[in-house]
Amino acid sequence: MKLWPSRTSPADGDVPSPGLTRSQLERMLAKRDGTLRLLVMVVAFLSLFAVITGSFALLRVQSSLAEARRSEALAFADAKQLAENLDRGITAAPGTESNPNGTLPAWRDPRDVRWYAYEQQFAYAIKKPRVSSLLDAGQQDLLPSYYRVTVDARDKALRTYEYANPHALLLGSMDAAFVLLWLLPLGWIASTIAVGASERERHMIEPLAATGVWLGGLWARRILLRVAALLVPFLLVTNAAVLLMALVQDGPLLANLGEALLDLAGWNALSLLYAGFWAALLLVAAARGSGTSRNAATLATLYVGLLVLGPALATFVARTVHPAPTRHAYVQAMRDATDQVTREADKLQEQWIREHPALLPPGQDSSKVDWPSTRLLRLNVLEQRTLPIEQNYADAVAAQAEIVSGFETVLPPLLIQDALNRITGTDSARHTEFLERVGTYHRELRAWFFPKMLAMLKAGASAPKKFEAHADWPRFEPVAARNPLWTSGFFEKAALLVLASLILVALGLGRRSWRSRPSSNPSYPVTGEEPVG
Amino acid sequence: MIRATLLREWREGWRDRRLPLFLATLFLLFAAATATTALETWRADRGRVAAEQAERARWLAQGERWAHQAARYGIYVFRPAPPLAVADPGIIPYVGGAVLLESLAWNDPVLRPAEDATFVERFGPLSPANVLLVALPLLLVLFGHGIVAREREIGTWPMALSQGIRPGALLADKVLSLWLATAAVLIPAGAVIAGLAAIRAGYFDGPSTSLPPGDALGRGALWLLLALVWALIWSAVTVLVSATVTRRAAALGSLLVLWACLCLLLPRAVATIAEVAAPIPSQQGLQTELLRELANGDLGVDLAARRRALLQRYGVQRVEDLPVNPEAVEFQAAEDRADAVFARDRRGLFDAFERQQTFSQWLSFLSPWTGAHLLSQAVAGSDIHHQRDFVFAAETQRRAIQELLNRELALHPDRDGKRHLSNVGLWARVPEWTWTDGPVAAALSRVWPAAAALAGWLVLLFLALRRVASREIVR
Repeated sequence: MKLWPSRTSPADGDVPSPGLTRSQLERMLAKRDGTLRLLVMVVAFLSLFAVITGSFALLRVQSSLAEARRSEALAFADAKQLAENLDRGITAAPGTESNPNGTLPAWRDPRDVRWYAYEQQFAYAIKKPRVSSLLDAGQQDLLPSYYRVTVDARDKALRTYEYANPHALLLGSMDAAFVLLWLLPLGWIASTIAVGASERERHMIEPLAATGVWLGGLWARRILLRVAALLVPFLLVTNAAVLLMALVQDGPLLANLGEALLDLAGWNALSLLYAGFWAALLLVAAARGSGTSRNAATLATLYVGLLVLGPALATFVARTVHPAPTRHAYVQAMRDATDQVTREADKLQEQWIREHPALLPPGQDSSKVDWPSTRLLRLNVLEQRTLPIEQNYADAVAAQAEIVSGFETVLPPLLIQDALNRITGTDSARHTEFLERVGTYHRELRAWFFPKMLAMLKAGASAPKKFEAHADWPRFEPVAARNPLWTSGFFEKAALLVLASLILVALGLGRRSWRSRPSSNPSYPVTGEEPVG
Repeated sequence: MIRATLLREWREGWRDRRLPLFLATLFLLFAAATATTALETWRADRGRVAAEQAERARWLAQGERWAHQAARYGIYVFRPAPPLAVADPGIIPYVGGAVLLESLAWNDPVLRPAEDATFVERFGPLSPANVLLVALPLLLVLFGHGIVAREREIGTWPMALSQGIRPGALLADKVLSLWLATAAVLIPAGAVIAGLAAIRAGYFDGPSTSLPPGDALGRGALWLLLALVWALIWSAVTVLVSATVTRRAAALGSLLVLWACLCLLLPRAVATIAEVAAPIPSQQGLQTELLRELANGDLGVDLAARRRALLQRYGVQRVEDLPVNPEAVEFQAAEDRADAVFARDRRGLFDAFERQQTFSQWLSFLSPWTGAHLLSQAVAGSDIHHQRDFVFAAETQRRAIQELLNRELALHPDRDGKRHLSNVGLWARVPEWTWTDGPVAAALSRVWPAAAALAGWLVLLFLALRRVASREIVR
């Protein structure tokens, strides 16, 4: 009796030897499956395409960061050079055609700490991308990897974005995570859709069962083989890409490789977890006893439910239960706070000038007092007051994330995507931490400059101006670390997913109709051939 | 004959519950998506109108102030949600909708809604456009994959042909039956969407409306037309594949692979290829260049020489005797210098976006999904071109405000070391921000390759169907 449908039967002259084990036989059949071969090639090609475009994206981010640091260093060097020129008595800026004398405006003098801090100094706060981010763009394309920080308004620094085509942001990246989450399941469905169903449509189930073959085991083996056949090239390509990229990175080789290997361990484990879940689903579908067409429809519906409708529902629930206030309201709240602080500051300033008229520069009214210092003073107060407003948005998003986290328990693609983002350091949580670091740095920078600015203001025009006195302003240490996976409650949910997969497997394998028993339907054809092995 | 075929298809679909399931799923998806986007748009509109009014009131109530101080304080303008945001919010979550108009700065629009969202939103929003472009083809595939293949399996196909029925007519009827079933949901859904857009345009008739209600209705009708064309393309694809293979399973498998390629894989691949082929400059690179150019522009100015020229022009010896405020003249000169730099910088950026968009449009001949997506956004007013229009309109407003304030300041020189303070008389002369989306014809003219690609796909599919039909005759 044949163990497989005729379309995958060995060709004449290539009949398996009687000593062939069932596993060897299944492997041989899988090798000869034209559809599977094609799918393996397609997956390999798509994986390659994904890691190449992912590598381009990573290199682009790294190049932007390098350029940012270069421009920061260059600006500092230029300011230093100009200060030295001015110290040497070269009082003019480089002349141009329309300005042959090259008169230098006061606000361009880098030796004056007030104008240097307010108009010239800037530092880039940098979030270093991990090498593994070439596999998963996550939120990295949306959330900036660097901010240009100055002592001016915090909002000004943090409300800048990396330029990206919004249409591409809307569609998302064609990265390896997309291949894993969206495309591999389709490949798995296509390659295993006929497992069981094909035999059923050819009325081979009863005869097969009558031979004593454990059908559940047979289908499980076929499904696992096909799932693995598509997963292995994917993992090979993605692992190789990350390791290669780690080798060409700047910095200590061992550290780079160590980081890459650590990330790859997580990446591979998550890929296996996801593949295991789909294998279990495919096994249950095969066990349902339907035809190929119905199997396909069921699996396609499940696919859409898990990847399209489920996430849309999660978004809808999260946004409905915890809607973030509109950003229009944010703008208004910020403006209200600004107006209030301005009014209070104006009042205070007027009072101060009334009380200390001698301190006002001769011939000037109250609107001409030192602009940088008064602005920074106001901004300090304003930013303290507006922190709670910003917190409202952060709280709403955190509450939404809580709800989404609940959905991760029932929607494995969400769980895996979230975990992949965390592993590759492209998640929102890492960015939130980065933002906090940037906020802290911004405060430090201002706190460093501000006393010097006030001292200069107090000393007046006669104060000595020295660039060296404020040249060693604090620099930002690039953020490289990522959040460990266990902080997100991942392992509990992953354990649930494993449990659910095992239950699905048990349901699939334990189906009564698959146990070997003699044919109950004498009308089924029995060829009389003996089983192999 | 057409009527008989249609009735037979629908009756069969009704009996085996495929048709009611298909219609109900499609209806529910459209209803949920429309409700979701309508609620979001309504919230955004309400917030925007309140913010616009508050911003205007704040501007008018700033009291007595030095005009340049007011110019630095600035005024926010907001982009109204696109006219057909209910159907397709498009890129709106990924672009800022608020711009601060202040002196000497062409600020980027800020506050992108996507920043206040979780990572799940990247899986795709629940919008009517997404239902139309992603879910509808899949439902059509699930519903109609056996429309010919099943008849072959059970042997009724050759029987029908042996009766003298032309295969071409039969295939056309099959396409029509799928398309009409889909249209039964699409037409009311499209009508509701157009109606909501018109009501919204009339209701939120604030300082800046997105579009008059009539235009919103027109855009709604166009979107419905696009939806019907898209449904026709997928009805034809489904029938074509079903007629090409001999078994239902093979038809379903092939159609699912096609769906995955055309609706999932190619759109992302096209966008990714476009990004690599026409890269966008980095923000920091552009900003560094911009600041450098601005600083060089300032260095290029000999203030003393300008003052001398001004004194000469007005025939006076001292700055104090000038009938104009030299500071204001310089402010405006700086604005003029910066304007040229800003315009070059921003035009370069949007040109880069549009190069990618054009690239994607031409690739629509490979991926009809991309073409339909771009057309849907163009009709809805939620594409990059409309965003460009908004950004440049906001800049025009900024320049108008700066010019007005600087002119006012120029006419009022400092007296006795005191600056001239302006009041509500000046603030009220600042024009209110009004912005409406341009005519839809202009929007469509920018995406004609995408429209041509869709038309090309339709023609190609019907030629392929004819070819399949002629083979049936030979067979």
